[in-house]
Amino acid sequence: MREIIRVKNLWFKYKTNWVLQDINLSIYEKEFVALVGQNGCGKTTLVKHFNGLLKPDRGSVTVYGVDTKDTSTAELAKVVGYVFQFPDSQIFARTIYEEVSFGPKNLKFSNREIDEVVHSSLNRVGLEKSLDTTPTALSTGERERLVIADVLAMNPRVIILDEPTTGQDHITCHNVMKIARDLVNLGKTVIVISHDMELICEWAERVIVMHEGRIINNGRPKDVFSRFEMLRDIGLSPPQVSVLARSLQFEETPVTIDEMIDVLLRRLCLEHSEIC
Amino acid sequence: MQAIKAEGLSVKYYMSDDYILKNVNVSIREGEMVLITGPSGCGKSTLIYCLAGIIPHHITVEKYEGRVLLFGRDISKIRFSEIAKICGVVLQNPTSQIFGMTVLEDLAFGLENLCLSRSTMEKKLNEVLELVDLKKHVNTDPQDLSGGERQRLVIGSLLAMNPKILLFDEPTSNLDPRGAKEVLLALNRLRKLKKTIILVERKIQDIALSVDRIIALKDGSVVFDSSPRDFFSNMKLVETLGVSSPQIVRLSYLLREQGIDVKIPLTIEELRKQLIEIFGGG
Repeated sequence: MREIIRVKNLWFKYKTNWVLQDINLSIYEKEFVALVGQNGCGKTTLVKHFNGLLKPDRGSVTVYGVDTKDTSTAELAKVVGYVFQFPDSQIFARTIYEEVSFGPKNLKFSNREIDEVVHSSLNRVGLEKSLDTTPTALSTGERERLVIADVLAMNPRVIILDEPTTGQDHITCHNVMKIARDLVNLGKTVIVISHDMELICEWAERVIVMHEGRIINNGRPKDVFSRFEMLRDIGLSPPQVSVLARSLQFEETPVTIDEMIDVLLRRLCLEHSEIC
Repeated sequence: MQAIKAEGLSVKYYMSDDYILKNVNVSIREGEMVLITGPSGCGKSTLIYCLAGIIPHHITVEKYEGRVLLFGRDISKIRFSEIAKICGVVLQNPTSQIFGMTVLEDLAFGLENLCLSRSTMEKKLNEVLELVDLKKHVNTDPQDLSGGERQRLVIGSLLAMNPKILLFDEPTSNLDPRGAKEVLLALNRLRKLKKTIILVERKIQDIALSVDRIIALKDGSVVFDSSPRDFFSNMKLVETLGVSSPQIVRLSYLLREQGIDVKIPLTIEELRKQLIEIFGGG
């Protein structure tokens, strides 16, 4: 897979407090990556380096081979789209059309192109409202999808979703993750920050665990969530099915319900071969 | 004894087309821990505001029909200062309820206004600090606390006033996993004090298993009012409400679909025991 973001020995501080300490990381094309960790561990600070909102104090971040220190945030915004944690902080226009067309207008798209991307972006997030609707009339879940459409309209190759599931109901969480998965299938790279471990296990391919400004684990959900002691030390809980499998002394660590069902059915077949 | 009761309660906000609550009848006993849930816009927060007397005392509405009884008395006819001594409300965003320069100052504010003696105040503050586990942060600026700690500080400030009923509007949904866990622990400690606890939450998988009863609202009406086990045994309803159920509950349903007979569990341990019987452990 092609490496598109490379973080090398990244250190960053707010005033005197080092919030990122010696981060080394690669993100690859068409990956669905999740960043987890407690509030204040540096997740948002790290991803803000990917679109140039923050620049390293030490070390480097390169995006598609370009050092973020050598380019502007405006240029990086064409490649890396950022959906902020609270959708309301990103919404300012009077209508849905104005809202979604703002980005492509600034990128000097033609009127016809703007029209096309507004429709296709809203379609992609399943927001089938009148284009004249005011964003304030939308539900929280719809506003979350609207800001994703804002970012999609600029056609970035990388999309960062900063806590899109916090404070959202179950259906919205799954809708957002499904949109993210569809984008990966279309060739985009998605980086999502979330506290919902079960959701991450269901949707993400790789999990990066941060603690106190450092990356302390990085791997497949199955591998990361089998490290119970590490998770406990930093206050994260593995999915219930993983805890259940551990309490049953299974060798495997399933992280999704489907994986647990597979493990259980295999065991049933081993013990009762006559029914399999 | 009955702590709060809503009788035929219907509420309509100004500028809204429809009633947000429609003929709601709920009754909460003293010492009970009750979870109110339902999809966005179903009227959960409005119900909490009514049960706490904020509606009609502080938020005026176009229509307020039926009544809320607080220990048998019509809440709309009780002075709000008196209601506040009985009911403490913890809002979704704790920052809006914190104003002290230190944790101790914030906790002491209510007690100072009750003109208690210094020794009584100190005793009370120590008890509260213990309950919400903030002893080591006595002199900390609340701004420097984590989300979970701030939420616990608000709970502590209310507890200092010794209310009989505590109402929470989404106390954990915006917290990180550690913060949510800490608040849940604090809630369980309050339960032991026999406080009446009423919670509104959308993300219910962690909290639902600790409560006595779940009340579910949909489009302003009560569609469910019974135990967590009954709630999660009705997967069709859970799905209709769009709320998330614990992973072990969903696993049990899928096992049933595979012809494996398991009862809906409320804890991992309950499911573990059943699976050991079926599959054998280890």
